Amino acid sequence: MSDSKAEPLVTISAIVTRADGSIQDLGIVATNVNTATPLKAKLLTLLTKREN
Amino acid sequence: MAASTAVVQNGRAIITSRLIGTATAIPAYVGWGTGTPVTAVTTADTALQTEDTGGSPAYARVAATSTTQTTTTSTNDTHTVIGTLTCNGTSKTITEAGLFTVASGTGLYIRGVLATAITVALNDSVQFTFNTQITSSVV
Repeated sequence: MSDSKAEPLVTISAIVTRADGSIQDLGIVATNVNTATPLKAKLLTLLTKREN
Repeated sequence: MAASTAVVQNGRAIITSRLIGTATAIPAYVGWGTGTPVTAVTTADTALQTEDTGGSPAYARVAATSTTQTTTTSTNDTHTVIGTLTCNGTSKTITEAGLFTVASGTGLYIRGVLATAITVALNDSVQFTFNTQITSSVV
């Protein structure tokens, strides 16, 4: 059995600088990284009765 | 639309091409898009849904720094590209970002759909950082 994982792992982060000079750090705005904990992932697998 | 992103199929070919020493262009141009409603990322994507072509020449893409290896889990396992786009016209709502090998046309490497749209006005800028971590699971 193997866990389903997206590879390569991509994250896109963004920082906005407004015309008036103010800065907004938006952090990660897109990712394919599964942030579920191993326990959560296992529970999800059990709940969906899916093994892969 | 939930955020999503991936190294698309063309991007995978770029990686393997570079590994065998082929002089394929590196992904060093960042673009943004305004697709509404924005469609989910698929690995078969070859372009942004609605790329902003309001720049001069006809694409808003900017040359980015694509020479940085960084560490996420193990030493130098991550490729980092940073590029800053500036709104040079009327306000627009950014829903997508892309990393390309060329300043215009095809060459998509990564497409991303943003978790939250970014509204920009004249002279606002957005610095995008693309991190691609190469991993390999032991199963």
